[in-house]
Amino acid sequence: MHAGMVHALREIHRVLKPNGTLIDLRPNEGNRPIEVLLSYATLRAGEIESSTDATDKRAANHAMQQAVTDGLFKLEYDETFDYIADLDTVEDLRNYGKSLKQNILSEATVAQVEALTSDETDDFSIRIRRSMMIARYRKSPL
Amino acid sequence: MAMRMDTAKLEQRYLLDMLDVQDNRILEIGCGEGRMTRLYAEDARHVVGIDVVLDELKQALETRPQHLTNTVDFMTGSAIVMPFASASFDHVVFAWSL
Repeated sequence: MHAGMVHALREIHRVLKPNGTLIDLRPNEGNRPIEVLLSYATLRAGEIESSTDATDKRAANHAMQQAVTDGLFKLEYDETFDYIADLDTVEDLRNYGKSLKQNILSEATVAQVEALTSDETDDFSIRIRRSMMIARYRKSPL
Repeated sequence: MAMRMDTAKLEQRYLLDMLDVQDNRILEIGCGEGRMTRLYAEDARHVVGIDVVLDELKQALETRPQHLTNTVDFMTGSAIVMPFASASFDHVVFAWSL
């Protein structure tokens, strides 16, 4: 995996014009917290388990570091931010869980959200936070 | 299903802040169904989106606006070996794909 990414970064270096840039936008490693937003409080209600793709994310980080070490690119700027999904119902959360390819939303977490919202009428929402990174690299001459 | 993604548009804001789109040539690797591609396609000189998932590429082609037919190309492929000449793009974007 790592070797393939390093090779891909060399290929990207080739197709970029002199002084061109590479933008890398992707999720960070780590679970996604789930919050229940009530009119009077925001309550933490578990997490989406994301350890299954942690190896891929670490490999991507290593590949980028390798490309910088090898003198292909220079890091100009990086930033993190939260990519937020807002859901209206527990059923929406279940459907969100079914749509996940590698990550896991446990039934226990859904039950926790259900318990926190069972006494509410329609004045709540469910928020899932996903930590993202974005970085800009400048092509270096070899 | 009522699901609202990134209503603050942070992803779009950060991406467009970092990209000098105007009149440039952009390669997007892992373009999927073209959701990100459409963000910069209007102002770029030329955008090429590549992906290995044919179903998503098909969707990208089907939803590409008519007026962008000459500006945006989608094709199958990965970053391992790319059929492009050296020094042909101003920017390469890995959006959710490295």
